[in-house]
Formats: sequence, structure tokens, C-alpha cells
Amino acid sequence: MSRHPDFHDLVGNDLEPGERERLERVHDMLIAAGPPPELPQELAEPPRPEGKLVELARRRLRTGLVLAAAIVLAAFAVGYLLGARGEDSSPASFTAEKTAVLGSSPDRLAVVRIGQIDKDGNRPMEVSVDGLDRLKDGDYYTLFMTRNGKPIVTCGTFNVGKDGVTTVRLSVAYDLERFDGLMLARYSREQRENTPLLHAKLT
Amino acid sequence: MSFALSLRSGLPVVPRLATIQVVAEPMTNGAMTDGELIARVGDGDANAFELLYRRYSRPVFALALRRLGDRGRAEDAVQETFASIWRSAGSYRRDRGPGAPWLYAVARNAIVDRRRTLGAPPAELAEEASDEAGPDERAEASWTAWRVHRALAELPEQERRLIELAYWGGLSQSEIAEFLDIPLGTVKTRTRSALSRLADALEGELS
Repeated sequence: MSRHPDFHDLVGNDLEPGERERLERVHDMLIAAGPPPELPQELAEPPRPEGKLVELARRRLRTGLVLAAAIVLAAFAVGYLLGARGEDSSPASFTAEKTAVLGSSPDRLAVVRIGQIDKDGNRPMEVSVDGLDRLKDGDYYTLFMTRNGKPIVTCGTFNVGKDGVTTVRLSVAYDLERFDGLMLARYSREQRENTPLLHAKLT
Repeated sequence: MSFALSLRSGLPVVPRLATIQVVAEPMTNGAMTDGELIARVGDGDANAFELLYRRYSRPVFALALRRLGDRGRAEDAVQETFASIWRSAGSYRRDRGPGAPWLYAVARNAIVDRRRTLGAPPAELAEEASDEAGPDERAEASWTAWRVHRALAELPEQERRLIELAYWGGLSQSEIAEFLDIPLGTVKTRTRSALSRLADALEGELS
């Protein structure tokens, strides 16, 4: 994000000098490294270890996922219009506890499905988007959970393909009761700021 | 309208604990090291391969994205990297060094090959902090990110979440305490613990 934490605020002032120096090195490395990118859904599972790369098969899978995403988008859009939120008929591998449609135009839309919390406190979240610009130069999209319209925490970052479509699987460990909405924003690395694009209430 | 995520909750300041005991456990506590996993992969162990993939898929993807600048190509590079790991793990010798540098070298080579296949020059995409840096500095930055991302993957979930909120969520320690509904002292204790674990990992096998 746009600001780095203050090391003194993080660790206080009562560390031994040697330990302080050691932790400060890690602090600097974390800032230098930046956040690891979200893993695309296509890479969620390891490849079959035959030592062969079957790229065409994977590309067919990707095409299938795009098609599936479009179907899911259409299904959810219809469900949303019919007031059928909460019912999950998608073929994805988790049952949606909540579904939100961000945006009102079919030309630019994001559908966020939030699954049930697991025994470790993690919730799967699947984001399918269509009609977004492919971002370059280190820019990316960020999905936020909001409260009173204000972005509070990030759910993850992603980009889209040339066709403006992608589906990514995220995981959040948040208490949903603490939020009332979702926001998709575009982050500009050059300007170091987010520009909100799409919103939705989380009911 | 634009915003830089920055919250000021106005929470009262909670006095910091006078002494916080930090217990640093080894990163590989109870788990196999990277070198052990690579050796098993070399023997054809598919389960070890999957464990290695869980540990390294994000660092490999991050490295590929940094160098190729395109998510689709980076995805392909990840697949090629792990295919290469499966093929060449038998050549890994634990007595010549830990597993992380070996995996980094395999990933880097797979990514370079990918660039060559695409006809692109073998240069790294310029990063925000290294626009004026030379190849050595960029390579160093890539290696740093690789180790940090790998070390993060092994943190306990509650500590990793704190680090992500603090470093990339834009939240202060007080805001994290409010958000997670835990005492500020606990946030500081866990943050210190997380940084200490990361330091252990970065000074140890991942060095």
C-alpha cells in the first residue's frame, strides 16, 4: 500500500540492540520485497509431475474457466435481478454463503462469492470480473472490504487478461459482521493511490 | 475520487507491555526442509513435490511476474519451473547448499528460457524501487523478494495476517488491534514474534 509501517511503532523501544538490528533488517526486507501476488486459480493446484508441460491443455482449461466465469456471471446477474441472492447454483468447489455483484453495467462487472469459514478461520472468496482494463506498469486491482463506504482491509490484488476477464480465488480470515460492503479499486503505482471503480453492499 | 488507505481511528493509547518475551521457533518446526523435499522429489516422491509446490508456487509466480511483466506468461513460467524441478531434482546435492538457492536458480533459468522462447531480451522488468538500478541490484532485489515470500509462507496464520495488515494493508498497530479485536500488546507481541521467525528463516536455510 501507500505507506510503510514505522519500525518503532511495530516493535517498541525495549529490544536489545542486537535483536533490534536483526528485526530491522527483516523490516527493510519486507518493504523491499513488497506483497506476494495472489496466485491465479489456474495455479491453485500443483501440476501433475510427469515432467511434461502440456501448455495447450492448460490453455484449454483457461478458456474453459473464462467460459465458466461468463456463465457464472450470467447466472449470478440473473439471480441478483430476481432477488435470489444467497442461493448458490455455481459449479465452483465451495458453497457461497454470500454473493455480491459489484457494478450495475454488464459491460463492467465483478461477482464476488464468499464461502463459509473453515475450521481454521479462513473463508474462500472467488472473484470473477469482466470488462476491466488490463493494467500495466505495476498497476493492479484491489478488492477491499468496506464499512460505511470506507475501505478497511484488502482481500487481495489481481489483474485481468487482454480480454478483460479473470477469475481468482482469494482467502480472507475476517469476521464479515465487521463490514457492510465491498469495493474494487484500481491501484496506480505511479500515483500511489487507489481509485474506486465498483461497489456493492454486503448483506 | 481516490484514496490512499489510511485510517485514523482515534483509539486511546494502550500502554505497551514492559517486557515481551519473544519465543522464536525454527521455521521448519516439525516439517521437512526444502533440501529434504527436493531430495525426495528426486526419488520420485509426488507428495514431496506437492509440498514443495505449496511452499514455492507464490514465490515462483512473484519472480516470474517481476521478470516477465505478464500474468499469463508468468503462469506458464510457474508450470515450466515445477516441471523442471521434477525433472532435475535428482541432480540436487544437499551437501552443496540449502534448497532455496537451488530452487531459485531453477526458477530463474526457467523464466529466462521463457523469455528467450518469446524472443524477449533477457532483462528484468524494472521495479518501482529499482528504476535506476543495474542488473546486480535488480537480481539482488529478486533474490530478497524470493526469500521473504518463501519465509512468509511458513509463518503461523495469525502472525502472517498481522504482517500483511501492517506492511501491505496500510493499518497501524492500533488499527490492527481494533480490527482484530485483540489487545494492542498482543498485536505487538505477535508482530515481534513474526519478525523474529522471519529473521530466523532468512538467516538460516533461506540465506
